[in-house]
Amino acid sequence: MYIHRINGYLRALKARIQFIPPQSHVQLGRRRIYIMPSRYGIWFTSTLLVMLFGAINYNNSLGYLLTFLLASLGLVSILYTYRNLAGLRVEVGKVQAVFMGEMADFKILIDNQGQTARYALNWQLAPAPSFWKTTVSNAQTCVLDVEENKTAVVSIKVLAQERGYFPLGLVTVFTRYPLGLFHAWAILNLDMKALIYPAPLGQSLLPASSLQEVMGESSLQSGSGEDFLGYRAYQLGDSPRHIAWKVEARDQGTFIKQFGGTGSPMLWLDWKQVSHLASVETSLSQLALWVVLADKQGACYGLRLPELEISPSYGDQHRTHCLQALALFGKNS
Amino acid sequence: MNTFPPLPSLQWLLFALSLVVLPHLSHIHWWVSGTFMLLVVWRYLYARDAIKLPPQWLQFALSMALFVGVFLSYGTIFGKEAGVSLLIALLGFKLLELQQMRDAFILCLLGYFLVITNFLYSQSFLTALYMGFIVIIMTATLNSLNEQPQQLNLKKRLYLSTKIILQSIPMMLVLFFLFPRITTNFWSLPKDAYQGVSGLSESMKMGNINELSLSDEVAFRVKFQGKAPPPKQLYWRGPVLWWTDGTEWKSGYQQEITQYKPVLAVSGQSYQYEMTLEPHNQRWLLALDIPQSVQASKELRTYISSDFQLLSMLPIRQLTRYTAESFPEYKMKDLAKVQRQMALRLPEGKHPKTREFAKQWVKQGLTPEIIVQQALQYFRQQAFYYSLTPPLLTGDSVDEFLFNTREGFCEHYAAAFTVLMRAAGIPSRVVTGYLGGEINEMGEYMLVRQRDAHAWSEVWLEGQGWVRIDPTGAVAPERINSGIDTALPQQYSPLGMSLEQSSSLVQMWQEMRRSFDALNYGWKQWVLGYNTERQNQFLNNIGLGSWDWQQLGVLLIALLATLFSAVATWLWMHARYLPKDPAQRLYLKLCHRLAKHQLSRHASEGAWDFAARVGTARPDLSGALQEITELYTQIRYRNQAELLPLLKQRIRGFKP
Repeated sequence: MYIHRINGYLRALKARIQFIPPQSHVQLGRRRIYIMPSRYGIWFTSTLLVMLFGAINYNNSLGYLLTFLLASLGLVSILYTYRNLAGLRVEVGKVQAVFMGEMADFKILIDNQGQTARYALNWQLAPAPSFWKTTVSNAQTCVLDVEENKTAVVSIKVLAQERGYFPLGLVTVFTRYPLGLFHAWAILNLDMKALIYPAPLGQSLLPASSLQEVMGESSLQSGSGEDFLGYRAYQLGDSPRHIAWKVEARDQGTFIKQFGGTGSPMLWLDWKQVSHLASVETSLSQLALWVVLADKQGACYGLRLPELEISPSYGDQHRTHCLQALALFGKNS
Repeated sequence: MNTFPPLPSLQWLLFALSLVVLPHLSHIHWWVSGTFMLLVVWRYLYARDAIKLPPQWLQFALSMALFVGVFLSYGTIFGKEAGVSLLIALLGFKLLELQQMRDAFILCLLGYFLVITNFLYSQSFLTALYMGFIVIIMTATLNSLNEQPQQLNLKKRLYLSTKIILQSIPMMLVLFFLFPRITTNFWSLPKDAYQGVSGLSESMKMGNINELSLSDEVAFRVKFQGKAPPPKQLYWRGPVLWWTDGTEWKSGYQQEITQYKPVLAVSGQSYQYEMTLEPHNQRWLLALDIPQSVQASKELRTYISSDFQLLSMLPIRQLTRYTAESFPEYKMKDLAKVQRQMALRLPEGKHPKTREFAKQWVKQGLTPEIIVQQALQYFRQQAFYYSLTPPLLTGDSVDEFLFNTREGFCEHYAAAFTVLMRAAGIPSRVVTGYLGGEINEMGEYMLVRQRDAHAWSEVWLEGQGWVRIDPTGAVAPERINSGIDTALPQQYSPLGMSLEQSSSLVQMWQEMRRSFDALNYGWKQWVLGYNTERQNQFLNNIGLGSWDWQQLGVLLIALLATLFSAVATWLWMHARYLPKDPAQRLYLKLCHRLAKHQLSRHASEGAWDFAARVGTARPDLSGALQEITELYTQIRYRNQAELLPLLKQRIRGFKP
């Protein structure tokens, strides 16, 4: 009955917590931190009761003294466990985009501005193990200490199962330090999203038709060839390796040294080439694989999707651009 | 496999458990402690990957064997000693099972529990200190089990657990003094719960040395109101023995002798005193000869019997405090007929020589007073010796002692004298109790030890009543005047060495013993003797005597809450970020003020970026904040400390 009531209370709490809008940073305070005796706390209390009965029965003064000391110890440990979380500042950190099927790595910044170190902080995606469990840490838990006046980074790894923007969801931080008698926790809704690209799967040969088309259109394209072609004005996203630093040094503006030649392939990756595939997802996976391969070969490639065309280019930013377009294809955002 | 617990945690656990078992070694069977030690070592070596654990079936079989072993050794598996043995051995087996957090936690709980079992054996101040130390170690163990991913270093962990314990002490004291003390037994106590520790017993047998007669254990402490009586009046009255079978003396409790009480008329100086009696599991209390009134807790239902003993209806199982008033000078009249008969009865056909000897006095027609003097004269003039190691008495012990061995201690003299008096037709009885006591000037009280146990005689003389006659005094007067130490041969001297009483080493030793005992007295008064009575007295003293338990309960909770918040505040003050640099402290105050207006600085945001952001959100603050930021960066990064007062002023004036 007692457990049921607590469960009901927790469900109500959860409902309340889920209304919290996603935040970029949170300071853990009274409203955020919950604390309950762990199962060990209940065992401890039961032992104390037995000891108290013993002390009364034998009228043993030191028995009373010890029982009361341990009871007070239990009470003080509530404060220690609570303080281990109180005042911690949690901030959104970086998230690298990953392909579907990989682990998205959400980095959370923890800032301990207090003068005491925080120990054994467990971080995990909600739902975390209940306060009633005897063993709390599992493979998904990230445990760390944060020294006084220091910051630390927690990385929570989640399997990317769907392409597009993947929100982190609720994160629980909990601790039982120092004595394990109490379980304090806070549930956070951090405004963090990982961009998930379609899994790069399918034919590993670049489409031949697209190559021919490219050849017909232009025989001279900038790319990663070896011949110096000339200068052009800097555009956002150009690799710093190609910046004409000598020109820059003369204060004549930022220019890019263009290389190219017949050795550099150029291709269009077109939706039409993959539209015959079984599903939209397989098509996107094929395109993603091609983007990866083309980038690896240093090719100059463009991407054509229904309603979207990315003109041929090269480099990391271009690759990201293309993969992002594939990740968000058909998703409203 | 053997990765839990981490080695440091395991070491702590094994160390703490060994410490808590250590004081038990003296009262449990050697094989139990041996098994425990073996299992501790085994578990440790297992963690070091040196050996394997015994297979499960063997563990099970061994733990079953353990129950049988305890039963065979103690005749039961319940009771104090057997229970503790069982607990210790099971603790050892639980160590082998230790594989996860819950096992480790259970071991810690059992460890705490073993601490309390130690208090059944000793509640001294030193025991308490030692157990306090163990609680700290045990708490540190619990702490170490909860440390992940890294373990704290030894110093930090000990510091932390000591700090938590110290912070718990105020709440402990409140609970200790205000938690309602009730005297109840929830379950019947095992037979061995109270082992009588007493120099006195219900019966007295000639030639049976009471083993405790030389024990240094404290029997009771006395606090006199006013002056203490002189040493020769320090007779502490205990059980009165009426009945004898020739060798043994017993109280001979019968309705007839308890029914009639001689009329007592006291005179002269009276002594009022407070007694603190150590538990001895017997019904008698002690009082200075001769008690006239007594005040003790109602539960004990104490009364003064017809032979002027202080008796309680219940055995004294805890430190007991009572006050009494006594008069060394008194007169009695009207000895009831049954009592006179009882006080004259001798076993048929025993002590022929003694009877013959006494008869000659009667034939001479001497008065009882003269006969008493004659008897004492006999002890004095013949070659009687005071000895704690008298030769064994064979045959008729009284005859043998009086006419043959003539060597003995108080019990021999009291018994022989009483028999002599009865043979001469003078009503007499044996009284046991204590004689003497040493004054502790530090605690201003008198201490009486078990070794001060004594026995003497009382004879009924018409016109005077029961008169105390101490035949030992005739043989060894120094026993009465300056305590047992002087009456004893050299080998019983306090340090166990042959030293003169006056030597400075002995004096120093006694001084030390006195100050330690003064500490113990306070400990007994306030900690061990704190019971229902004492609690009421304490509440009266602080003016809460009229409060009922509900009001006191509210007070208790309120005090606990106050102390709890005090500890909380203390901890918070340390958890708060308080930079050492005053400029930074001022600046953070400002940030805190801005944060209340939804303008909080991010951890990664510099002072200037923050100022710019606030400036766009609240253009009205822009100017002031720019100035403050300028001052702040000047002080903090360009060492312009002289600008600090200005910064302080600006920040004070900043009103978002």
